[in-house]
Order: sequence, then structure tokens, then C-alpha cells
Amino acid sequence: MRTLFQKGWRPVLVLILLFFIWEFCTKIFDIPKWLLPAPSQVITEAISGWSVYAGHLASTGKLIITGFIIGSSIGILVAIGLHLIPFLREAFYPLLIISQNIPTIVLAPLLVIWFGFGMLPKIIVITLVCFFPITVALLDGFRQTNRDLLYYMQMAGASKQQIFWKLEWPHALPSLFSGLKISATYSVMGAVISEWLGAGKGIGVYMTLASSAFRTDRVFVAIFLIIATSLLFFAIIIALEKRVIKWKREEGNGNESA
Amino acid sequence: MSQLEIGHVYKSFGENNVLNDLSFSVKEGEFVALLGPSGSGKSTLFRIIGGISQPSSGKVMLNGENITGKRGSISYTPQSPSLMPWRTILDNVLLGQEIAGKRDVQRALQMIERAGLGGFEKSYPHELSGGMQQRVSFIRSILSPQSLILLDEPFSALDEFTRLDMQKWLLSIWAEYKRSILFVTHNIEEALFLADRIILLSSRPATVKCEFTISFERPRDEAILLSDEFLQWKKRIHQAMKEET
Repeated sequence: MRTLFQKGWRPVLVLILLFFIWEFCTKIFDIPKWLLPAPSQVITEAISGWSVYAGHLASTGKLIITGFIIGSSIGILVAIGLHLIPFLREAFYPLLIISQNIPTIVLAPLLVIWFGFGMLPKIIVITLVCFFPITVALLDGFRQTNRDLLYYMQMAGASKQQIFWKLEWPHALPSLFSGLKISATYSVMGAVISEWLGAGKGIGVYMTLASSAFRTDRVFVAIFLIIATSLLFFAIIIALEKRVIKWKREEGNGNESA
Repeated sequence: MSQLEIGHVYKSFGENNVLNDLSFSVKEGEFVALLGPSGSGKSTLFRIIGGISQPSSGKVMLNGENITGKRGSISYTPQSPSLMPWRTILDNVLLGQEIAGKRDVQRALQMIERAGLGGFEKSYPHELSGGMQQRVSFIRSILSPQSLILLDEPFSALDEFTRLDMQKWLLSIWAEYKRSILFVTHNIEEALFLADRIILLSSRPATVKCEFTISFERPRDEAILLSDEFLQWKKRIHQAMKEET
């Protein structure tokens, strides 16, 4: 934590400086509030408007957590399935890669037509953006299993199940976490996009309402809320990673090679 | 009675002959060194003995039982220590037993203590030096239920000083636990210092060139490394190696 402060003060200083420049520009050039509000106005709105957006924030948070848990579970299961059954991997892996060239945004209207405006289409959107980075990262982790250890396990007579649970799964955990980190930020984006398409509540809704009413300060509040949520989820995953992967923390580059 | 019996093993990958009519044996409790140039197909041979690769022809017998293509009959120690970075030293040492189904924590702790690694059983492998990791890897083999241990150039990555310490340590542990060991190396001195018998392999395709029975008394002291007899042996093996080329 201390190193974070030691290294973190420079970018923080740059950010504060940027906010000051922004504040002065709006004052000097007399920019109207509906075009570009000053940071101070955004902060005031963020504090005074809490009761306005608290409900939206809670709803989006719930959506992100549900979507992320479902999406990453599916991602993990798909990766394990493709890894353990080579036939499935050969059949589905190329399709999986191609499917990622379809922007999720273009699928969203279809999902609304099929599933309406409830939770389901939104969770499907988040799942779609979430599971891919996890599947690819985890498959990579499985594939890079240490050869020597694999030979050792096989010669010792380990069953396929033992090899998976004692070797391949723990070996792939660091890869899984890099996938989870990417997916955590993607899921926030997915949640907001799915709310734009139509929802009763949520940061996405708050944002569309604010922009159509030219409450630009609220649009900025929404943007900062989204950034903060993203960072929060990212931090949660990193904290989880540190708890689960104890052996990696002080490890240099030497030990894993072979 | 010989424990491990390699009988006329051939192995080729397409046109490429790797093992050519390879036959030798390891007796119960014997320490045998396989001496051969790098790339002479030793890894292929180990994979065949370990049962994860099938020979093109020939068979592998262990205690009179045909184990060709059968896994789980021997304990293999790879060139790199190959410890699992996510397991503590104690859990790493127990891995061989775990695969076979039963853990004996008490004995494992005893062995760790005996190997001079007491106090490290809760540490992770990356906290240990290369020599210590290699020791852990060897304890894992000793604790495994299999009676034959394959060692694949275990000391080749260590520096000269650590290597001699490790060799002496290996001899002392072996004298106590009396496992049969098949030790691959391309270091003549190492083979002479450690083994009861040296089997000299030719370069590709590998076949047994000749065998030497080493009669140095046990327990061996590092002083023999500088004795005349030792140098004579070294010469003889050098000559035998040259003849083949």
C-alpha cells in the first residue's frame, strides 16, 4: 500500500492540475454550464444529487455483479470444457475468436426484441462481453503448463483428474485472474450500454435522462461514477488475486521458466 | 536378480532412429549411471521407462512384470527441480504419495529435517536456492512408493561447489534408504563418483557401447576424486568414448 502512495502521487498531481486548468478555462472563457460545467459544479452536483442517483447506482451495481458472476462462471466452464475435450476445442475455438468480431452493441437491439427490457437481455450482454477474455486467458494458462511437471505427474501414474486439479488448474490461476481483471472493466461498460437500450433504472438511464435535459453536469457525474465503479471492481479482483495466489507475490522470473 | 530390465528397445520417429537395440539392467538397490552425449535420446528412453511413450519394439520389465507403456511404476526426477510453485515444501514433498493415494506427513517432516531443510516446510519453492529445490525434488522421489528412481541430470544446473555437496548428500541418503537409482549424466567424474556401474551410450542412434563396474569402496569420500585410480578410470572411459566416433 505504501508503494502505491509513493508511486501514485505524480499521476494524482497531474490530474489535480488538469482539473484546475479546466476550472479556470470555464471561468475565463465564460463557457455556459450546459456546454461544459466546471469541475466545482460537477462536484457540487455529485454531492447534492446523491439521492437522485443513489438508486440508479445501486441498480447498476447489482446488474454488474450478477452479470459478472454469471459471465465469468460461463467463461471458466467453457474454458475447462474446451481444454478437457480436444474435439470441442478444435470445433469451437476458431468460432469463438470470430464471434468476437461482432460488436456487442449491434446485438443489443436484437436481444431487446427477443427478451424485452428486463434483467435478462442486460445480463446476456454482460455475459457476452465477460466470458471471452476469461475463456481465452484460462485456455492459454492450461496450454502453458510446465512440461517437466506434466511428465513427472504422468510417470508417477497420476490420473487425468489428478493432473487437472493438482497441476493444470493451479497453474492456470494467474492467467485466470488476468482474464478476470479485463472482464471486470468490460462488465461495467456492458452494463451501461445495455441500460442505454432501455431500462427503468441505472447509471445508463440517469445519463440519458441528464443528456436529453442538457444537465451536462449530471452527465459528468455519471462518467465519473462509471470510472469509479470500474476501478473499484478492478481493485476487488486484485485483492482477491493477492489472497488466492500467495506464491507469486515475491517470485522473480526464474522459477516458472523451463 | 535384476529389478529393471530393458530388453532390446528400439525407438524411431519416422526415419529418425533414436534408440537402437538398447538393453541393460539395474539390480535391486544398485546405483547405475547412464553416461552419454547430450541428445543421445536419454529423454526418449526415460519416457519409455516411465510409460508415457511406447517403444517401436522391445520391452521394459520391472521386478519380472512387463511395464511397457504402463505408468506409475517408477519415480522420475526431472532436470529442473520441477516443484509446484503454489505448494509449500511439505506439500511438494508429499505429491508422489498423494498421487498414489496416501499421505505420511510424519515421515515427510522427518525427511525434510534430515535433508537440512528443517524450518522450510511451510516455505514456497521460490524462497529456496537451486540446490535446496533439487533436494526437495529428490526427497519427493524417495518418499514416493515406487522403488526405482530415475534421475535426469539433476545436478547439471548447479555450480561446481554446490554440485559436490549435493552428490555427497545424495550418496548418504541413498546409502540409508537403498533405492535403485538410474542416473543420467554427461559428466564422467559425476558418474564415477556416484555409481556402482556405468553404462556408456553411443550417440544417436543410442545403443549400449560398453559397461564398467566401478569398485570404489563405499562410503565414498571426495578424496578419491584426486586419486590415481580415479584418473585411470577417467582415462579408460574417455578412450572408450573416443573409440565410438
